[in-house]
Amino acid sequence: MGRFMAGRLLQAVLVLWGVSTIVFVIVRLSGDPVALMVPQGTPADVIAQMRHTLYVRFLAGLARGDLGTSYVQDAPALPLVLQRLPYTIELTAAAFGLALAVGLPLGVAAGTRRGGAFDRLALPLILIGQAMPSFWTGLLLILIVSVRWHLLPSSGSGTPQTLVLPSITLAWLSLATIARMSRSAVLEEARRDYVRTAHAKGVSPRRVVVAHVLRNAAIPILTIAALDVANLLGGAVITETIFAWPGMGRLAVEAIQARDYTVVQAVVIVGTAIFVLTTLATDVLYGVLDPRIALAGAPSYPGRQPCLPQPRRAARSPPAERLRGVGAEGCRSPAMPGSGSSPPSRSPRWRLRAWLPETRWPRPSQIA
Amino acid sequence: MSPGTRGPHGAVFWLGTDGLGRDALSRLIYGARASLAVASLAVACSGALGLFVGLTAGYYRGWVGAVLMRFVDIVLSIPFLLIALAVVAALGPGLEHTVLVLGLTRWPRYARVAFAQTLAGRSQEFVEAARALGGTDVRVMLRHVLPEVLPSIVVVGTLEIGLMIVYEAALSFLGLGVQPPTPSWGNMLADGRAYLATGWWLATFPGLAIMVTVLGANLLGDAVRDRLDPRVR
Repeated sequence: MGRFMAGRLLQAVLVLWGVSTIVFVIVRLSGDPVALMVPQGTPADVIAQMRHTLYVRFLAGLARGDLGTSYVQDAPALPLVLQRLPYTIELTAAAFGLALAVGLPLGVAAGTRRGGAFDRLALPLILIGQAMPSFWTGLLLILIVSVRWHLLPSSGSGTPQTLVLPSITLAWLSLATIARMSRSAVLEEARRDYVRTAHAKGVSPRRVVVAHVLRNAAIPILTIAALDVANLLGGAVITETIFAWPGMGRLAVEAIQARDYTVVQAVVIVGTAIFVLTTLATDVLYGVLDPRIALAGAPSYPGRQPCLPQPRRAARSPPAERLRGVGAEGCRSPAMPGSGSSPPSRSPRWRLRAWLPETRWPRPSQIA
Repeated sequence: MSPGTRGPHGAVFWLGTDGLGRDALSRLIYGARASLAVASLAVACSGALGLFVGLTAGYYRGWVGAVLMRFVDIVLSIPFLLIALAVVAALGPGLEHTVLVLGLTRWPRYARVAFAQTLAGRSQEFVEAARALGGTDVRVMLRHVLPEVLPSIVVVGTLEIGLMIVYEAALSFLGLGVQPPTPSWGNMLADGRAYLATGWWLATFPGLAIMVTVLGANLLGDAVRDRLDPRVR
């Protein structure tokens, strides 16, 4: 586990460095400051030297938490961003809570009674929910709730009422995703032997779901939910713009319009840092939720087998590996019940990535 | 004018007109261009890039594969909308830049799938046979491994189209995508925002168009997956 975490930490630092560098370059694509500083006819190596110096200074500043000065507001960029951060966190947390509170029960209920009335009702809801862009949902909510019914304010912040519409808007897509994911995770688990055993020994159906199925379905759900934090952060940019919510995303849009690139740069770096921290926290949570991960440590890199179900034939792994939980069959895809014949195992990183292509859209045949 | 109003020359504005008196239906139809063009170009770019990286990583494995896939991990953990904002902010808004951003940030998904499928494909007997017969790496990759990988990539691609449409609309909505005189669903929605209190139809129909298109793209993706994916068959 220690080695696993060290690796993840290293990767997190790498990501931050990579993103900062990308942003550093991108922001300077619009106009090369060095070209303005030097007289015409300066040799190329001197220019390269100056660029290098600028980059080193930028990295040094980054390490000290200094992200430059906003040209427009004449203030250090990082405090400007951090000032807006609590609002974004408030909004994102509210949306995430809402998505989890509604999406999880919805998905579990649909999954446990597959083909039931509720399940059949949930499928179109999820499909439509995933197809509705958040900025449209937001506008419709304003149109109906604020303009027609005069129920809730359409913009502003500070009172609980102002939080309602933005968080519903932001939660919308995540809600559908979490519902879909928990539905297929529950479906996948429900077919396993231990569930039949639990039923056979007379455990109440409710307890089977809560104590047995959900515990095992938690990992895929957690994975998707954590990935969704990135979507929420991105979605916050749009939601904040619609509802005039004074968060980080709106700051970014304002900064872009004002051509205040230092602030744009700071927002991107802070946003990435938050996302990277969330991913790290998820990795720790894996260990808490499933002791097998903590025991097995990091899934060995490229893995003996990729985590997509194998085309045409499924490899058999030696039992020892299966016990360790990172064997060749260490993958199953809850997104594709019916095709996954592999036993459960715990190599979350790989499984997580392997689902990505199937994350967003439920296949009608698998849901109906 | 509200939807269904008859204009001065007897023509009916089925979806009404916008703040400048332009027919909303015509703009909606024309706006489909931007969405579909950006979505398909972006999918093509990112698909080709991802396929190349994944195929190379999966075929050579070893350190080449490890380095490439690590890189994929890193790109995958970048919050992409924020990067898109930065790029568009720096390069200026426009259709090409939108395609560029989407193409350059969305490829890791394809790379992962291609990597996994290549690993599986290259261990099969006919690939071994082709290598034993003296086929060059490039030939084996293109003639024997690629056909194994392609269906999955097509599946991912069709599933991505819906997302691309949403992202294009989102960028245009923020004023960073297609620029105003040219209609796109995103900037029509942004226009409609200003008339929420007086003209409900301006913000409703472009969004509806996006929703229906994305829903269609997603269902198409599902159908393509069902047909092409050897794992499901």
